[in-house]
Amino acid sequence: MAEDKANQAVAATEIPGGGILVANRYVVLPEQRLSHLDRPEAAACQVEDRQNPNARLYALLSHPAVPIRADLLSGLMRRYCPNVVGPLCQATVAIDGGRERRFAVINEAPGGISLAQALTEREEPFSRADVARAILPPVIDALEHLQERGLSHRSIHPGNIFFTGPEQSSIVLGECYSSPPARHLPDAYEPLETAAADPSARGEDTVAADLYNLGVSILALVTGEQPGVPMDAESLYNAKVSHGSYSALVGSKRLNPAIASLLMGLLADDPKRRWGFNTLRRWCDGFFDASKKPGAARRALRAYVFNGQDYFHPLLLAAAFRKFPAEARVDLMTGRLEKWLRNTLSEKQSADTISAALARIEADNAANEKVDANLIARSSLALDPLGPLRYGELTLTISGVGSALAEALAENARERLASLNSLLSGNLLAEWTASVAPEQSRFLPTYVCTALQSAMRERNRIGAGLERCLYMLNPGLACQSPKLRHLCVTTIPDLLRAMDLAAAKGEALTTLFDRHAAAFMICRQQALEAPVMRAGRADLSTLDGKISLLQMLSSIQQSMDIGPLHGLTAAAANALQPSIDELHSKMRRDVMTARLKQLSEGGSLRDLVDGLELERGVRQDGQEYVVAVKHYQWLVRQVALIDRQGEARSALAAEQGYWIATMLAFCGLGVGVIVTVARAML
Amino acid sequence: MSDQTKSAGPAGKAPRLVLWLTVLTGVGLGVLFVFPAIFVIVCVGMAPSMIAVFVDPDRNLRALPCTVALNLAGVIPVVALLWQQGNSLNDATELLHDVFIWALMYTGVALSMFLLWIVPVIVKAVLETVARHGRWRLERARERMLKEWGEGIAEAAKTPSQDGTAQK
Repeated sequence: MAEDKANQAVAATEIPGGGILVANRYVVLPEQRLSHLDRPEAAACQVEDRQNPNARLYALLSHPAVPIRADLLSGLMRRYCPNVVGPLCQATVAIDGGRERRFAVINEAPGGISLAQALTEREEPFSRADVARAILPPVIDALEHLQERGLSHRSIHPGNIFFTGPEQSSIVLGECYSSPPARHLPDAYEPLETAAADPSARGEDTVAADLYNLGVSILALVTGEQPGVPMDAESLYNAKVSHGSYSALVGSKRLNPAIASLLMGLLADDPKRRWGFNTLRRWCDGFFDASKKPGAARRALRAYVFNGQDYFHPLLLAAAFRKFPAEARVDLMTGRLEKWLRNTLSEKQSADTISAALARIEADNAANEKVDANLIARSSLALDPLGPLRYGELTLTISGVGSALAEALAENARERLASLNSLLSGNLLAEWTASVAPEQSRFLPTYVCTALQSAMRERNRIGAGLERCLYMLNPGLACQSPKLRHLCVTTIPDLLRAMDLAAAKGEALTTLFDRHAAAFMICRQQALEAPVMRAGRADLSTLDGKISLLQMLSSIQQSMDIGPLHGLTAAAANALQPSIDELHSKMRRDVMTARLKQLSEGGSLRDLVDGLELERGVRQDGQEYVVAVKHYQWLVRQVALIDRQGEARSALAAEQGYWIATMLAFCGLGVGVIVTVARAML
Repeated sequence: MSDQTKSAGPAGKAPRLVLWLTVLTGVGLGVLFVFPAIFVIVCVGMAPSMIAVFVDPDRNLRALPCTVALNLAGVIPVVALLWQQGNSLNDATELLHDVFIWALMYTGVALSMFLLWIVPVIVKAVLETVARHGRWRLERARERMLKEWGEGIAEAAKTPSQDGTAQK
């Protein structure tokens, strides 16, 4: 319940003088930018606190397409975390004159500048003393708190660490929720297990990854140089694998022995050998052992020749398979890799994995891209069990699937989307999560994999497919419907209000209810699955489809106590009008049009659907039309009969005329006889 | 039906006409021997009816009762007059010398001719008026239906085997 409360964005209202009042306390001023606090995917702006005017606050305005780390944000809002920029409140706010909305998080502003800025302002880089006194202790505190809560920062680099004040005696970690984990960290900052992953799919990982980020940050601070520059990502990864991260990043630089020891501890490629908080505290206190330079990843004695190159490291071979999939398939089918793993590296389990993958392919007796991607993915996992999954166009970690999907959909990257489509539909994801350590698999439990597969089985239906997976995997993501994305819809009531706004601007009802809107509704409220899927199954060009959609929307409007939706009701009326226009009876058309107009003004979809009774009207109209056609046919027949009876009428007139004349004649005869007899008698 | 009546009429009525003529001839011969003056007056007065029988048997078979009735209505007062004057052949001859007596006897025939012309015309006019009014009412109902149900109903009505909804 508390989490739900934390997740809910509070009310925000525009202030006539400028700014947006949030939670009746904070005034967000989108026009007053704070560019030094900008994040790669969120703009920083000034915030005033009405209760505490001296408070230094700022707001980060995130674009609705960015999948924020909702769990982390709610965790930080729920409970204060020391030495991390603390979010106080979240809301969706209107910017750009109300044309767009942004997801705003109000934070306590750090008192000082960032370490990256301080580095440029200083004449000399940071010293061991600076690291030991000002930097490490607060970071250790922060990371320890995060670890206790099962969270990780994943955005530690000098540009996102700030001094707490001008005296530069202590630091605070910058915000970490405005973009996917490590999305904007330079390649050098990533530990070996996630370095090969796509930037959008590096995933949450653990505090061990944060400590690695911290190590690279300290390296940057004490050397005054960007680590890994000028190497590209691939060269850097190759160097880290071949020589170890420490050697690859530090190279031939001469470092203070204490700093070198610290970096050897923090940059250990094996997360289990990476320094922990106690070791770091002891280092800060001046106690440390002269660390051994961490070694490189495991190296085979005999090279594996692939694509004309020698590979001694399984990790590099896995990366090469991802880079040359066609050649990798041919190579894997020879069975050489299995033997190499078994004989040279004594990796029996990995060899068995590859053997099983090959056997599966032979059993399937199929050759297509999905099969190839599966084979290469399984082989890569066998070579790099702690590394990311290399599947088709994707290289992702378990916790990075959601953000990778969000970015691929936002960029409409067809090849990546095709790979995601294939990956989420198959069993590989579930098998992978079942095979990794619990601290990784918790990000994508088996039941979630099953739900994803289930959603993908019905991928062609509205409310299922990739869109459904998107919202399942990104609980904080705003609705990405093209018509509504700019309105930053984060809740179902907001969705209906946004639909109302869009409808008021002329959007048709049937276009507003698209795959994104349907999937968003289902994922944000499970109870809506049945009605939304039912509405999605219906053909929205038919009356039944429209009624089904309106019934679903009206039940949401009623159950969630959403106020009048005039735009949506008017759009619904527009959608229903063609069905009324198709009624045969003019009188019924006129009556229903008038009633539709009257009901659409009320803003209640329930009243519109129930009050109009269009379905019944259409049914009755059809029945009455059949009767009317028969009556019309009778009328036509009667008119034709009258027209045909002209001659018969003449004959009848003559016959009846003679008969009447005869009657008159006999009357005359009778009168004549009576008069004659009367005269004779008189 | 009327055609059948027309074609069957003369054939069916011919024996009856012969029967009637035979009866009338018998009655006439009886009257000739008993009342020769009345016989003369009746023969002269009823001449138009007799001519009518023989000139156009088909028409006059229907018109005959009317013609005979009104002709008889003109002859009966003359016969009564003859009876009052003594019922002799001289009286009959004297009466026949009076132009008003002729006018009295033949006015009935003229009246019957007029009735046989005017009454069918009036009846036909009445029937036509009734039919026209009925047609107008039907047309008005048809127009109301077209206005209510649209022009499509006329198209739908052309194919009576299908129901109305299929025609829309």
